[in-house]
Parts: sequence; C-alpha cells; structure tokens
Amino acid sequence: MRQFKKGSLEMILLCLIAQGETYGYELLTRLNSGGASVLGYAREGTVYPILYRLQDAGLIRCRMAPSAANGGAKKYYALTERGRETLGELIAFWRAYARCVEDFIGEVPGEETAAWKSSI
Amino acid sequence: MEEQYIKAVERALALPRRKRREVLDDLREIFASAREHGEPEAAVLERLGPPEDFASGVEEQLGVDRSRLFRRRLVLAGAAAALAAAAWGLLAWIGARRLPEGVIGQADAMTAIQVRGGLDPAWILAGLGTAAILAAAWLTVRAVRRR
Repeated sequence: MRQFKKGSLEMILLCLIAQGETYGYELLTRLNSGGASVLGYAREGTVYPILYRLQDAGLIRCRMAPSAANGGAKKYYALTERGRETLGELIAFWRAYARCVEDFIGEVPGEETAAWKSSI
Repeated sequence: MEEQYIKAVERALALPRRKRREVLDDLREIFASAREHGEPEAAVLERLGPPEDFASGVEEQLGVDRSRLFRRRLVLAGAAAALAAAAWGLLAWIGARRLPEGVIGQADAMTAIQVRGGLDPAWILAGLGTAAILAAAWLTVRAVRRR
C-alpha cells in the first residue's frame, strides 16, 4: 500500500504543479488538504526527494524568487514541456489502469463497480 | 534547533557539493515557510523526522550508490597519496644528486661566485608533497566518515 501511494504521489505532484507555478510549502498544504485521508499525511521528507528526482528527469524546473516574508528566497516549481507530455501519458495510463482494475473488482462476487466507486 | 537539524542532514548526506547545497537551502526554506505560516518549529521538526531519514530519502530518490561513492573517494585519496610519494621521491632523488654548497661547475676548489635568488624547486616539491599527504589523509577520513 505504501509503495502504491508513493508511486502515485509523483503523478499527483505533477498535477499540482501543472495548475501553475508553486512552492514547496504550498504543495505540501494542498496535498494535505486534498488527500491526507486517503494518501496519508504528506511530509517534506517524502515530497522533496520526489521533487529532486522530477527535476533531475527534466520534468519540472525551478526558479528562485525573493520572498518578502522571510527575507530569503523561495523556490518556485513549474512543469517543463517534457513534464507536460509525461503527465499526459501518465494520466492516460492511470485511467486505463483504473478501468482495468475496476473491471476485475466488478467480477468479484458481491463487489459491484458502483459500490466501489461510491466508496472513493 | 533549525541550524542543528540542517547541520545533521549535511553530515549525513552523500551527494555532490552542489546538490547538497541545494538540499540544505531547501531545508532553510522549509523552516522559513513554516514560520511565515505561523507554524511552530517543533511541528516542522516532528514532520521532518530524524535528519538521517531525510538524507537517506533524498539519496534513495536520486539513486545515490553509497558504496560506489565510497570507492570513488578512496581512489581520490589514493591518487593524492601517490602524488605525495612522487613529490617526496623526486625530492630525495634531487637531494642525492645535489652538489655540495659553494661548488660551481664541479670545480675542486671553492669559488667566490655565489648563486642567489629564485625559489628553490626543492621547497616547491616539499610543499607539494606535504599538501598531497594532508589531502590524502583528509580524503580518507571524509570517505570513512561519510560511508
């Protein structure tokens, strides 16, 4: 279950960054307000390493901007063109994957697709 | 506590210098952002977890191979030691060939000619040799500590 969540976190982060330039703390807050109950409470120790890897893979880029509040600088993340393409592929795969798993679940006696859907 | 935490991550992190610097800067931003949102430092520290875990999480995602890094550092230390040996060896060889003081042109008798000035290459070699030994020692200690 944990590995499963970790795998999807990468895609969720890309989704959040795709909505517009954002910074670390905001990503964490949005993750926790949106999916903490299912995904578990997001921590910097999980999110930042993934951001480093996405950056290394050329899917996101970052720029430093001065931060008025803390006197230092904030790192803002944005998707690269490659990141946008990859996210499109991931979303297409995710949908096909979910449909496929859903079909299998529907074949389990007593488990109906509708019931599974309503529980999500 | 913030600086202590960042220092502990720095010690634990086996990454190239530039990448390490980036991770540490991000940690500073994490603390600063939390302050900005009125979150107490204790809450951030609890969420971050042990510094060693934070460091290993970063390494894991970036595919850091610690044993390879250790071997590379040892090779570097070995190269410095070899350089030291070469410098001191050359120095010994020059020393053995050196003419007695005051002799010019291998004359038997003393001459009044004195050669002065210029930096003695022997000193440069000795300096190089010493620096290389120190570098080898430092690299070995660092490699073992970061293993």
